[in-house]
Amino acid sequence: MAEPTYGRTLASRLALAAVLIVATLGTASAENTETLAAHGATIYATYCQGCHGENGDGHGPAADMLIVKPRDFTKGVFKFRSTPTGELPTDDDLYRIITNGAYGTSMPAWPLLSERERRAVVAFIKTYYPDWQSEGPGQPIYIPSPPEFTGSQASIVRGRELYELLDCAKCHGDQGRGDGESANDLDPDIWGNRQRPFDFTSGPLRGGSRFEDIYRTFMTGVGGTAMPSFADIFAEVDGEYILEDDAWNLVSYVWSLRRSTQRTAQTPKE
Amino acid sequence: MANGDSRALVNLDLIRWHLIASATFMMVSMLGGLAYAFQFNQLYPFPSIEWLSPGRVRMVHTNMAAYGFIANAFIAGLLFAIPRLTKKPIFSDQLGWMIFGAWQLTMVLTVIGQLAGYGQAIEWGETPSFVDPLVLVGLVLLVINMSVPIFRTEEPGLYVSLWYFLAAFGWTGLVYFMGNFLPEYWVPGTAGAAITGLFIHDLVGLFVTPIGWGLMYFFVPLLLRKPIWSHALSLIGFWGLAFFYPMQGVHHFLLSPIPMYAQYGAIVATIAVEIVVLTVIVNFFGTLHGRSEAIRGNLALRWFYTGMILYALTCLQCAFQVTLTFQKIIHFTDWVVAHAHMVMFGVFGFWIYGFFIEVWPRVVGRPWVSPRLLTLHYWMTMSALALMIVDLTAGGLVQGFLWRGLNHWGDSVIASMPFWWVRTLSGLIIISAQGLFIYALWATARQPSTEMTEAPVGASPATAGVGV
Amino acid sequence: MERFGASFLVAAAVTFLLGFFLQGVMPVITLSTLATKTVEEVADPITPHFSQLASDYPEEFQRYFGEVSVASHAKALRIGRDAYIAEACFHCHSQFVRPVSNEDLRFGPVSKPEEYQNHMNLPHLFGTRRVGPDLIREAGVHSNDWHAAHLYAPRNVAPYSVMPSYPWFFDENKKPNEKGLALIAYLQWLGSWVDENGTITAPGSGGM
Repeated sequence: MAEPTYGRTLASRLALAAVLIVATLGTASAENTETLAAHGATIYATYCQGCHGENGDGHGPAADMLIVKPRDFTKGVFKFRSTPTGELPTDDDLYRIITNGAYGTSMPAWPLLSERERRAVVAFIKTYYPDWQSEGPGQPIYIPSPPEFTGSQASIVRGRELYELLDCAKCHGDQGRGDGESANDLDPDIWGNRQRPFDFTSGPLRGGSRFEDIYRTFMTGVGGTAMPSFADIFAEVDGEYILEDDAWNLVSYVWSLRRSTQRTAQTPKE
Repeated sequence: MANGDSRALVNLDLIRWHLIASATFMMVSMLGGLAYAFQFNQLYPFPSIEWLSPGRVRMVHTNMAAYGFIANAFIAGLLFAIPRLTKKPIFSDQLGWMIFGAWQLTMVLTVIGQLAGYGQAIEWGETPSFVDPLVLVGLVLLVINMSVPIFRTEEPGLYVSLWYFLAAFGWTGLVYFMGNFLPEYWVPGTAGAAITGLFIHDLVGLFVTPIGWGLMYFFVPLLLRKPIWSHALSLIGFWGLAFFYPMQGVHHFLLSPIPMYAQYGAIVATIAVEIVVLTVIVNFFGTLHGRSEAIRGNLALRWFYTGMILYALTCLQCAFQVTLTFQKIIHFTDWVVAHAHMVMFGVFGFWIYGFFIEVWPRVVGRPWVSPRLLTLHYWMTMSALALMIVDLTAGGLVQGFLWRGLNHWGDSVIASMPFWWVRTLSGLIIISAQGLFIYALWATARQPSTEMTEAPVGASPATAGVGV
Repeated sequence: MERFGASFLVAAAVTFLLGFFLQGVMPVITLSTLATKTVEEVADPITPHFSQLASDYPEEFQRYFGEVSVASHAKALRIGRDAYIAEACFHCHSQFVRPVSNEDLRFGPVSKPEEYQNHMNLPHLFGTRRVGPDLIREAGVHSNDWHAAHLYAPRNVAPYSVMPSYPWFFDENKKPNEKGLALIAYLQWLGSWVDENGTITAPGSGGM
């Protein structure tokens, strides 16, 4: 109603908002360290412990019957991250895997745990790796939005060239079925489990099936396994072997191999 | 029972053996139910034994309750009531014994078949496929044996009990055939589900209910020594039941892919029949009016009227829970389990106990050994069942709202644990009460013979005066 | 008097048939426009998880089902369904998603009649109680080895579970036997006809 006071009101509102935001952040971080992890412990005991084990070492009572073994949290090595090879994943990385599951493995999706419950589990499983607080998570790599040509026929053809050039077939096989010549000669992964190169035709991909997910997986590598990061290779665009945006062409090819006729999991809550 | 060339009007031996079979299968059913309840407390007594897997045991629990416990007792009831009402004995005593043998063989085969993994996938129709034809033959023979005296009677009019019995005879074979053959062999999928719903419902509505009410119309006026309150209400009750009861099958699968007109039709018919049911209840309480002290004095009557109160509650509950509003929350939950126990055990099981109380002394020719024990049995069974009903109804609501609230499935299981513990507790009380009851049956039959043999119905010295 | 008595038998037959017509025959007529498919027809396409079973448990799969084919898939579906019925799984797991109570968010798209119009649903397995979750959208929600571990000892996976264990679906080295493989194949078939956008097409590409 009174126009002259408008500016002042806005300013005071902004100030109030700022105070509130800071206060909220403060509360949130306080909760992260203590109550959140404690809450996570109870959820972990209910829903996670059967496979991942009481000690977070991946040796729960159900683990011996699982083919892809449950993650051992105590080593601080995680397969699917947005952070470079060798670094700890961000909270969001862990949250994403809990939410969506790792398709094709025995890790189901947990969309029906509330967001706070999932965050609490993240906070709790980090406590299994003692150095988490000191090391801290790595810096997530930058994932641009996929160019429009991703998934196009031309891009898939170029992706196939890259697939051959980069020797992907050596492990993943000529048709991407995970049956390359060295597929059976791989050393066990760092957790001591047998490695099997992924069969891209078997269904949705474990780290996620969107273009960004595929990009993220081979730019950061699959931690603890023979699957390296290709970030360095795609970083050097020489115009001869590696062209501009070639990473997305490889994404297109891998994406084209996947067979997906099924819903991946329960519909997320959000 | 060879007492001369003239056949006795009522074959007491046959009744006794049906009652023994009924009590035996009641214990089988209840022990199965108790074991199954322990599964929900993660304390199943026979884990990892294939033949005693909880899923299979649950089939035994429900099937033995319906076909072993209730059907045997109802056959005994028919054997008792029909000759008295028609003044004609049943068609053939030999046939009666044959049916007795065949029925118990069927029960044993059913239990063995289900435990061996040959149960079928229709609820209440899990009887193995090799048993189904035998049951049908048995039912047809039973109908012949029982309806002949009704057709031969020279009494001036057919009493209302006999209407119910005749209608049940007409319905039962049809219902059994429909449920045990159509969805299994000819009608797949959604339409088969509609027929299954009809079967589940008709089994209770067209077999158990009419025979149960027929027995009530027989026993209650006799025990109260006064005629039924209103003949007009009996008429409305019978024809309303006959008309509306068979039309509600799909209410077992509301909000399923079955065409909605069938679902709405079932809902309307269900609400309609509850109104009719109230006329029957009113009629019986009208009959009781002025004689309510009899409930205290006569244990059989007390069982009968307790069952009727539970019947009224069940039906009132039906009228609400059949609406889609209630269905959203309660379907698939323990609410339904509570409802099923309230009607199958609370109504028909209780009526059967009343029937036992009245008839057992006659068929063994000895008075009840301990009326006090029977009173204890009543209070234990009744209060434990009330506990179970309240507990499971509440548990059902908790489950329904947790599911609707999109909690993780495990949350609803964990939240149900306390309710399942209370259910087991009530089951334990019920089983112990039945243990006492079986003991009373046994001890009564074993005591030295007394002069009491053929007292007129309604003047049972053993139960008259059984106090609270 | 005889006529009078017979009239009750007639009344019983008439009321039964009236109810049977309204509640049984009418739905059959309404749904008769849907083609009924055989087990062989709904076994095609082969689910990815059936192929996956062959690589998850190669020896056992080879021994009981031979090659991955529509025929072996159909065989597995039949055996799996029989096991599902024999263990009375339908007492604790339903097989339809209702349009209420947020079930579409929890389980997936609401069920349609054409999904059930096949011989895998003879008899249907709608179920009347949910102690465990609905299973008609189970395909792909869990992996084969998760199912194996869970069927072997549910409380190993989920300590709160009240599901019984089924060790007789496994041989001595805890690998699923014929029934175990078949049951897993059956569970992974349930809802495999729903695509990733939630579109329902009747199971089996062969028919219609």
